Amino acid sequence: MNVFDGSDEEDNNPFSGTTHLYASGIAAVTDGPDDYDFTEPSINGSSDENAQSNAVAEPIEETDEPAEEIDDDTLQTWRFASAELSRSSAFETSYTNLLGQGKNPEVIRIVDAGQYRDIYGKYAIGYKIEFGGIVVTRRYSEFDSLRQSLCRLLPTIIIPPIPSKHPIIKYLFNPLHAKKDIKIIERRQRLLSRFLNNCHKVREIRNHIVFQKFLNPEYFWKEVLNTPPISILPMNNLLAPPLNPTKPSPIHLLLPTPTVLTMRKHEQLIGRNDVMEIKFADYDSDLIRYKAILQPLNKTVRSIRSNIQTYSAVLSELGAYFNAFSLENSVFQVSALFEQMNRLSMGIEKTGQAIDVNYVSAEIFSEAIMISLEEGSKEMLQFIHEAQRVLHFRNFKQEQFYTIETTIKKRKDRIRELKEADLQAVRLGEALKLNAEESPTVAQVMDSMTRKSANKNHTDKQIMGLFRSSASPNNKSGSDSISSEVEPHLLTKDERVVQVNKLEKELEKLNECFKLIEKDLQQVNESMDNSLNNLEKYFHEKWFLIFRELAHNITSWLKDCSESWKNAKQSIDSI
Amino acid sequence: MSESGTLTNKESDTKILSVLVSDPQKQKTHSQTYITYQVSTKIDGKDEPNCVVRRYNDFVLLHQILINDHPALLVPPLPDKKVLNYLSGDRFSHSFTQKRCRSLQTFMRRLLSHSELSKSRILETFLTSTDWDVYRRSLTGQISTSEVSDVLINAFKHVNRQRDEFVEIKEKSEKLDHNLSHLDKLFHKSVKRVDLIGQNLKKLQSSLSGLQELCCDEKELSNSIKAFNDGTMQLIDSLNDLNKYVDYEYNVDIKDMINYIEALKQLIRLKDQKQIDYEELSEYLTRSINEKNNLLSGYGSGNYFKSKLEELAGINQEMARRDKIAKLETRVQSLTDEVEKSKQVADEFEKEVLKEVEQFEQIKTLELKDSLAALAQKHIDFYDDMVEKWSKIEERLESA
Repeated sequence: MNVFDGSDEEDNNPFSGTTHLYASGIAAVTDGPDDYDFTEPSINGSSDENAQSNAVAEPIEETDEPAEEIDDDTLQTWRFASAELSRSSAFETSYTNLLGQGKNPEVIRIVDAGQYRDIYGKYAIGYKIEFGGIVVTRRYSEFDSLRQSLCRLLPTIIIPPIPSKHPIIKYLFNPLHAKKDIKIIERRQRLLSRFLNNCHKVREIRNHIVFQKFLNPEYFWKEVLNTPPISILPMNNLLAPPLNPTKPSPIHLLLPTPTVLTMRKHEQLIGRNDVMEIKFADYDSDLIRYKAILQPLNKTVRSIRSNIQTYSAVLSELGAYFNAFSLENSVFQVSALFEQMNRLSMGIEKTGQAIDVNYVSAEIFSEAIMISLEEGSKEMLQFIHEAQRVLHFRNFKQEQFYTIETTIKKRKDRIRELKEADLQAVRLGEALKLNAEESPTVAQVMDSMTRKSANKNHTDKQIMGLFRSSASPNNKSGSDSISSEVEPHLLTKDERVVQVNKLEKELEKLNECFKLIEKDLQQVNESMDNSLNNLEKYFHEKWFLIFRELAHNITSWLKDCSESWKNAKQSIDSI
Repeated sequence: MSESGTLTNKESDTKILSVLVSDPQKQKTHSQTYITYQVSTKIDGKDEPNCVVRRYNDFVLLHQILINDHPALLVPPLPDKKVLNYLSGDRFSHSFTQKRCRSLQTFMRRLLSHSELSKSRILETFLTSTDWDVYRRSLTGQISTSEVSDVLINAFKHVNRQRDEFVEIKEKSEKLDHNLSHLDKLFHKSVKRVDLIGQNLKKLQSSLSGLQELCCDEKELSNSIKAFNDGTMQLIDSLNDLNKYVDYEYNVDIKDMINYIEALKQLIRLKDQKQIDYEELSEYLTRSINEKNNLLSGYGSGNYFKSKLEELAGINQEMARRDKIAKLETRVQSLTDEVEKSKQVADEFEKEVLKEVEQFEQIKTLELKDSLAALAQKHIDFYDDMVEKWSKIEERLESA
């Protein structure tokens, strides 16, 4: 672990001044970071910093009073009843009981949505989540922050999507209102419930403490956001263990940070003929093709839905006019036709009823299309977007890998060059020595050469010192400073030795990094492969579900309409 | 020439059972292009239907003759000339000729359902005779179409007294007209929507085909998509057929009904016209009688100045008075006759029109029944067919 030995810097802790677990040094943290089970006292030390950074991140929340000062009367009774008394309690047991039921499609339900008073006494739209008999209410913004946290906590996992935010401008003019926006709230209720269940299907999320806390009414969500693991998330996930970014790992900080500009082209990587590489390239192109199909599909479905809605509105009007028509369909009462005309009225009325039934079932049908196909394809598109984001993370990891690999190669080459130059110099020296014995001119030149090199040696030491400090270990890629580019035979022997030593030391660290990134990459590959596979499976199941639902809805729509027209026909035939 | 035989022998009682107007065909001669329709008539006692080919102008001629011959009868209207379609050159389009064919069919059916008009000889000629062409050539341009202007002149005059029945009829026909035109508009809207839905479904289908290609490794899923897509295809086709029916036939029926009511209103206006004639005449008569009575009772006619003037002019007042009375006498006499006559005409017309209204009710009821029944049947056929197909698809998908 002693990467930093030999360095002259006293405090090179990159975490200092951040909210990272290591902010006050590695020793301050006990081992066993694999489980996230941090108890509250352990964060007391850094809670001040947390408060500050969170105040910056969420300025809106700033005005809220701290939870402790809230009068018990303002709390929602059904939410916090006896919660504080038994914090460990029933939830954990029921959660573990339910963990086994991961296969069940609807383990988590959102049973209600509507206005409620949050713990700070503010009115907001809350979603009542029921899970294993335990109920917790969360707001949309809390779902949103849960998702964002999960994305950062599990960078290799495709995190299920949630419905997109209400457009901010709309919100400013017309904030969500429990009574007015029933449609939007219902839709969110449905989609958020889908989100929770999709999360629950993913083992990594299901078992994650943050997700569990979200479902647990005993935790205030704001508190969860301000405590580990969320509060100790690293600034850059690329410089942390990919499967567990909050796990401390100093070597990760030595990794290069690739930017979009320095990214290699995909084709170059595929050229390496790596099995994994090809597989992931396939994933990538599949996702793009999928997206190219889903995007127009989603658009078409939207317009089908809206056309059916308009159609059903026309039908409803039509039904109304048939009704009026049934009352006023004759210009004159002919006594001989009295009976027949009565029946005609009946027939017209029944036709109107048939059209009314058509209207209602068209309405239902359009709703069904919206829920299954429109929202389904939208969700898939969001999923694809997520998958692409995750793949992007992998590309960065990949880039880290290649950067280190090439750097190692460069360093090795350089060492070899330097050593070769050494050998050459020895040979040259011997040759010159032989010559010098014969020629005084050569001897003079040699003399001046050694003196010069001694001078140079002196200045070089300064350069070397500067290099050491400037080429700090975390930008290895940029460490090809001027002196190392100098042609080896222009350096003195001593310089060469110093460089070789330095390079070998660097190489040592690089090799360590390489091992790490190799492992990282393997983990990333494995985890993502798994996640993408699951996504593919999920898509397939989803399609089956969608087609089944649609076919069912189409059939029942057709059946209803057929029935209604048969009724009408009977009545018409009796005219 | 067997047709001409039946023509000359009017009493032979060729009973026409039904008429079918069908098969619009585009005809091209050197000078003009037009559409012909096949008119086939089923005659009692004959197996083979009798077929003739007529064009729209022939129908117009027939219609005109019938109107002129039977002013008191409700002659069913023809579909509009649709000048706009002529201008846009759309009159040879499939949808236009199909719709017109349907309207012409309705026109013929209404004629045949009418107790008087169905016996008309000219109709029989139109339906059966090859002589019709000769008829047409000699008659075209000779028939006046004057009644329109009459109606216009009296458009602002109203009948003073009319029977309660007609008040009711007028009111109700307004309402019926109103309802029907709304139905017409709404059906148009629905046809347009369904058309759009069909187009959308086509797009959806092609998207799903793309998906199927993408998932071709997954046999089951790809089969499901195919099953679904096949069903969608059938849905699109049948929906299209149903929509065509509503557009080409049901909607045309509604339009024709609206026109029929319009013709009825026209007839009632004509009746009002007769009534107005009578009312004006009798008013004139009353005035004349009053004037005569005034003269007889010796109260000076006109004013003082007038009599003074006449005195100065050397006219013998007494003589002039007698003269006037005599003139009024004859006028009253002839007016009384006229009023009597016009009252008879108006009453006759009124009776006739009431009968026509009854006939209209009968024909309308039958027609509405038929078109509703056909509408319902088309829907039932569509839905049943689709239910059957989609139930199978549902099963296939369930088992996947």
